[in-house]
Amino acid sequence: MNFKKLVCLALALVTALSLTACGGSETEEAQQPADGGAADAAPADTIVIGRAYDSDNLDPVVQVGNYNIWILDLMLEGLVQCTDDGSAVEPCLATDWTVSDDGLTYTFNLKEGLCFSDGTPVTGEDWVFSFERAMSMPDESWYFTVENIASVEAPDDTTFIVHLKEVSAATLPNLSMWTCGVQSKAYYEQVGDEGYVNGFIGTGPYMLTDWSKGESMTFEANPYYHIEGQPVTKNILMRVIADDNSRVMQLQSGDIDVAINLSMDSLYQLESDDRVVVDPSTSCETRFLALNTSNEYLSNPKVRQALSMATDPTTITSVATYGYGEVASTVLPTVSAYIDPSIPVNQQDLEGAKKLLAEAGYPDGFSLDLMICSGKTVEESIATLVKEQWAQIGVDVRICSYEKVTYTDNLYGLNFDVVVDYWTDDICDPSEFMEYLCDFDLCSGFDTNYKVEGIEELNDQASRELDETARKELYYEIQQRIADAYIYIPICTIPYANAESVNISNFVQTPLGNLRLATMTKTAG
Amino acid sequence: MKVKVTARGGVRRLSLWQRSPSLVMGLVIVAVAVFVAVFPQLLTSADPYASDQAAMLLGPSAQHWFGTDNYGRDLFSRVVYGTRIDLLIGLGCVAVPFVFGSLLGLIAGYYGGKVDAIIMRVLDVFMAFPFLIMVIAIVAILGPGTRNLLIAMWIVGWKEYTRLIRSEVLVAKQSEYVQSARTMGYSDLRIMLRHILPNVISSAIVYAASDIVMCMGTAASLSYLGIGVEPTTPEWGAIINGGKSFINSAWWITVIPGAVLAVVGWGFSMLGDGLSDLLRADTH
Amino acid sequence: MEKLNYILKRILQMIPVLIIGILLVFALVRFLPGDTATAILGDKARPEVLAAYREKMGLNDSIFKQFIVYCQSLVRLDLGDSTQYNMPVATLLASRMKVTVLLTLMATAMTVVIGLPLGYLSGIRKDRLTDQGIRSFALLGLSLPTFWVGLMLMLIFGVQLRWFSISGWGETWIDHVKGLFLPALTEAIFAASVIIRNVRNNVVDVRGQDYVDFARCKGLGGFRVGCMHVLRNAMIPTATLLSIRIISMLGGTVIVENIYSLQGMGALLVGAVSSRDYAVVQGAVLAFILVVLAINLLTDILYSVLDPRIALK
Repeated sequence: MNFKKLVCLALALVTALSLTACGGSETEEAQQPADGGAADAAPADTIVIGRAYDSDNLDPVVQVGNYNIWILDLMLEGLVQCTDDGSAVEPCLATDWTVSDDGLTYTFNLKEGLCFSDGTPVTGEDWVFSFERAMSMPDESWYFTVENIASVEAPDDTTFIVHLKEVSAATLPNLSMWTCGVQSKAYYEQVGDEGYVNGFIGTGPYMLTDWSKGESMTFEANPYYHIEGQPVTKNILMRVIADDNSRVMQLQSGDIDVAINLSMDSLYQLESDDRVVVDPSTSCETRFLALNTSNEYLSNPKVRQALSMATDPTTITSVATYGYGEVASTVLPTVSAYIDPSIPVNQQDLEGAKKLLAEAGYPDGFSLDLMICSGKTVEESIATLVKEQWAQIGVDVRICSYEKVTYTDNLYGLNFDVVVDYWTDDICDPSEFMEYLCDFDLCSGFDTNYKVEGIEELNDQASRELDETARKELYYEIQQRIADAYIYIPICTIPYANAESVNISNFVQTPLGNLRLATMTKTAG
Repeated sequence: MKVKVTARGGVRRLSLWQRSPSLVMGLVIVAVAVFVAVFPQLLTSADPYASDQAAMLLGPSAQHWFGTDNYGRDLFSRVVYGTRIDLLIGLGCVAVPFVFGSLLGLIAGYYGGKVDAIIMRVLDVFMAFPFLIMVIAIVAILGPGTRNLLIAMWIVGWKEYTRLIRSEVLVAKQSEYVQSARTMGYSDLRIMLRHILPNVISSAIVYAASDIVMCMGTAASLSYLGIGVEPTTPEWGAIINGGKSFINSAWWITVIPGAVLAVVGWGFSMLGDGLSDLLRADTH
Repeated sequence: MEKLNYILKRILQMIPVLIIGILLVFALVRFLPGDTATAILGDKARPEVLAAYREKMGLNDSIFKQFIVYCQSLVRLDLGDSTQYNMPVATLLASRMKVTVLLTLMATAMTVVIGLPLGYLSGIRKDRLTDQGIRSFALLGLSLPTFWVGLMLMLIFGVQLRWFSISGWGETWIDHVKGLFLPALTEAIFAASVIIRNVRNNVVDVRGQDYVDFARCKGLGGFRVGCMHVLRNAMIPTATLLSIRIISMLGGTVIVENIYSLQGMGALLVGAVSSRDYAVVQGAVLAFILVVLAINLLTDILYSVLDPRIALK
């Protein structure tokens, strides 16, 4: 009891200090020259991150959307985690594991002495609770990550066993997801499903201490974090600054330390500011054109091929992303290890395109609606350039910019001709995207209303293939078949457009978008 | 009516410039804008839609008077070609509410009673409803594009005209000439259109001139919020919006079209101001 | 007594406005394409997940049934829960209202502080250089699009000169006032221009009236004539105009809130429309309408205070 009181007091003090620290940033700045060297030595207590939207739900099982996903890693950890570069899965709370010969049982050895951020020890019961809660909610978006788990058991507090329904190549990536993170059962029993929307108690480097919805989130260092010396910075304040420009200006004026979700435009402009470091981080965020084959013209494969030939993704990428993006040869994120290297980047061939169009019976062209989501500058730039390029073969493009929900509704209803489509991987494995691409019923053949022959079966095979080389071959075959159907025109993968003040170091965003801030520091001055 | 004739007789010898300099200045600016809108090709040979990767974000120069944007498009030609679009939006937003709003005001003011009460309650709702939200919702329902933007602006724009005309009609209704027209047994329609309307419409005309400015501003604001004209259209608000990320490094994209918008708006405001000056001079 | 009757009558008149308003906003949000499920779950949600969500939120019920449910909860003074923020709408509104109210109050104060003296000055110096200058400024203020003014002020005073904070709402009252200074100024420039023009014209009119000459004849000094007679009488039409400006500032607050990243009612409403957060849109619009009606009522009452000759009827 006494100890708890002490902790509370300490926390209150820290909070009070941090509040005055960020409330009086101007005075602090003014005093700096007087303080001299003393201030330089100590890293700052609080780092302010500006982002475009607030989170809306922190229940690891129920939440959807990047603004929740990206910050979950601050509070939540599981058996394994995706590496910072997004290429593989590495141990996290588990030190090592063994797989049974039939590939159906995974036995994990857990780190000893793990504690939740409230100081209570992590028990086997917490592990079983966390998994079983996710497994009991089949109506939720991330259920697919635990769908293959038959049962879990925790013989003791340092051993955890997962039994699978069938062999799967994506088992470890699935286990690195937030649905499989360990949460305090006691806390859940205290607040229930409703309270869980506002957060949970996990073992991550930070804990959420204050949340004014739509405005800000305050994170405080987890004093019981299992890695010595981390997290380095005591407080992280996430502020919602909806307008891109305001985020840039506040970064320049020093009101915030890190600005995330910027536009490529802003990033490019910030290059010339020496108070700021531009930090585009590799992402899994792709942009491609999806052609809706319900459209009369687009149902003709020659027309689709002609449009593809008329497009120059290299120019589009360099203009729309100022060269920050990476031009894509397939719809897969360019960081993926499963891209078929034999498929080249699309080369523009206007003469060939015109000839094909004439062969298809449209020598004078036709007009198409190109749908984009409003307020997204990259999409708008892509559309602008596509319009210009296709005009050269006589195809008149009308750009229709819809706000997000209408855009979404039109996607579901296939109510468009061409769309600047996108994908972001949530899991460090191609299985999620491949399922959407290959399972026609999930989203009408990924917004094309076109069923590519045989890819669903190929994908089924690949998802069970444990041999890496064989699995790659299967995915290559799928990509080849999709490319031959000319239903997509791959454009690029764009990075996360982040920028930081020069005195910030170790701000990490993984290609999946997760913020890893345990070693982030801000040096004064 | 009588006052008007004598007053006009009294000031006839003054030139328009002496009577209202702002009217003349306004007329000149608006005339120039209209000329640019009608004959943009006379002023620039550059294609407002043509991008040029080699000429991205260039500052104002002899070749590109207003600089270029992030696609390397010539901003001078975009602003020039945008004149037509912005003027059409401004006039389009105002014309329909002007006619329908004024008519509603006429009817409400003339008939009074239940008709008036119903119109005024609906008007109260529209006055109290946050108008930008209504525009945003209507555009979301109807879909994007200039036409739907105009429709949305019509739906929210009529109320000021109705209020203005109604209050003027309430006064005019009591005047001698309307009373005498009534005793002569003229029909309501004839009295409203031939006797009342010409005497009350001037305030609506004056308001319309400033309303054009506000509508152009609102349309530009909507472009700023990502609603409005089709992307790539050289609408001034859209150009400003497109340049807002470059405000530190390529100020010309936001500052110049904004200044042009301000000057043209200023012209319309002065026009309205001058008109009301003339009317005040006439009635005093 | 007469006044009380008048106020009661006005309040009764508000009821149909409120009812039409509630109907209108209910219909408007349900005509929007997509629904809460598409908004919350995004475009690559699994079909069964979407279906389950719609069932849970009652989105499959008929519009009529949804309206009945909404009205029932309104009667219980329950505005429902936000789907986006997972909290009661009333709590959400309360926290957002304070930003918008303070912003509008500051903008109104600035409008008056800029508008009245300049308008008065312009009026008493009719057709002189001062008048021409002030009129041109006011006309310019009318012609500048708000969002552009906001961007420019932010760029000049917030980023280049760093005179004002642009970090938004902040923690303390001093922060609030500092953070709201530029946004309020942005709104005030347009409104003050309207007020300047109006006050000027009224001052010109009033100065031509007999009682001002009479006051002068009585030997009252220029300043006293100015304040007591000219300004006061010029105030009456200005009060109405100011109330219209306040209402339109409230309605247009979204742009300024967007530029300066303030979490006020405007930002809340736009966000709620785009995330199809029906309860929030309905609740916020209802709150807006109530505030506007209250302002109108207050203006009318103020009217009778300023000019006792105007009978309340």
